[in-house]
Amino acid sequence: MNKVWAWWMSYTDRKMDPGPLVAVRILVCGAIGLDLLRMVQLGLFSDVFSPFSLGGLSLIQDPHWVLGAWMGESASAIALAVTLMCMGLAGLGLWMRPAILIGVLAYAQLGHLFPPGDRAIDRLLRSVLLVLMFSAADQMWSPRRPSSTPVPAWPADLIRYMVVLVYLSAGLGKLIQQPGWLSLTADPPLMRILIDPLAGNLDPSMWAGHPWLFRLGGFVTIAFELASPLLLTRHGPKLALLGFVMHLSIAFTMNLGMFSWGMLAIYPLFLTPFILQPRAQTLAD
Amino acid sequence: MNALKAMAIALVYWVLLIVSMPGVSFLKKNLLLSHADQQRFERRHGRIALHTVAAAADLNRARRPLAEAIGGFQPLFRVRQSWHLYRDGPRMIRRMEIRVDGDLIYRSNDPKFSWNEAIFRHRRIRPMVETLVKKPKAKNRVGLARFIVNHAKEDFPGVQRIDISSFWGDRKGKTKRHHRIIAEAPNWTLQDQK
Repeated sequence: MNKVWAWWMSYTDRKMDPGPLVAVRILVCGAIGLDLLRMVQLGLFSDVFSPFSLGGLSLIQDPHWVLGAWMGESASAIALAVTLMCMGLAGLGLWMRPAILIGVLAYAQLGHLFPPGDRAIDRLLRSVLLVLMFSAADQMWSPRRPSSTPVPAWPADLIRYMVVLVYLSAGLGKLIQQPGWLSLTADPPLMRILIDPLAGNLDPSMWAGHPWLFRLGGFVTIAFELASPLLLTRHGPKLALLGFVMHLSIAFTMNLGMFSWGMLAIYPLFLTPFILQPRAQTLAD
Repeated sequence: MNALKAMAIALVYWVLLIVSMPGVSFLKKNLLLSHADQQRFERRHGRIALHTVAAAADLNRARRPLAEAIGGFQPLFRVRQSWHLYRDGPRMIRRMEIRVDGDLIYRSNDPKFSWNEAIFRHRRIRPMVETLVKKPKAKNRVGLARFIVNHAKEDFPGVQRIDISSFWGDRKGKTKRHHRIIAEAPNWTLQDQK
């Protein structure tokens, strides 16, 4: 027990190059900000972020939508402005901690106001930001703290662990609820997903004749998701390359908006040895 | 101080594991609870599968009250750690079609009929389109149909009839209308039709 505890103490006390955490800070804030701005550009803001009684799209609001009661009709515009401002500040590394806290709260309110459009990627990125709030991700590429001295590595480890839980849940959920993912004869679920005209970009009449391609893709997806705990080991960066390619493929074969880019925004923590300097490895020893 | 930090971090890992519990959290509360259910499951899947799934179901029943107790922070930040990502796609090919006075202006993922395509395939709107296409009585269909009618009236002045249809079909392109919503001038009341 003592050995395990000693290992845990040293594991949580390690230091790392701030680069990967800083990159995640900038990319995650950028992904959220650009996603919201795209919605504004499409002229969707008042339809998406208004209650049904005021002309909005959704009949359903989450009971935790409280800004409307406090601020009236302008609540959603205030929440959007605060989210965008906070993502900007946090992305720049200015007043990072308060900016993340206030920004995540405001972004959560937008999600409560329009639950159908608040997806898993929104929840994951909010979770990542909450962990970053306790990190030294503003240590570099920030006008206030331009230093690159090693910083605690535990926030990076915790974010990696969260992402592994996401992949593992997705993999086990697929396998248990749809055994067709492993079948050599059944209709490949990956094909159904990618040729669905509502979310996929592939033409059903053209691609439905090539089930083996999708079967192979399905096997690789399941293998990656079930093997995701390896992302926490020294083999992680190699496996992460597969995840990187998977998310890029999703970005081009499906129309999921921020999903792929939001996931890839976290990947600097997995791909550190490939895209940043090798010195990002732990320095505690 | 380091010991405290290590304990706090271990606690966070544990909380995240309990609230998300991959492979277990989505099991139904009453799964394999009755003896009859267990016998039926064993007949279909065998004894090893029964013991494995029953153990997971028991673990989930033990986990749920704990997860509810320690996961109370999640709604505040809207960070529910429940990750039921894409598990399957629809067996049928389903599309939304919009017609203005009988002329097709939009069909899901068809570049020839792409009126407001960027909006209908936007990640925040798409789930509403999906439920409208899938369920004739989808709860949120009214909001989306009202949105479509208002925008079509703006973009096609003088329009008399707007038809929002759900078409289901096979992969070769044979499709059949499953259900639809119609709105007509002058009152533009939304009407569900088979």
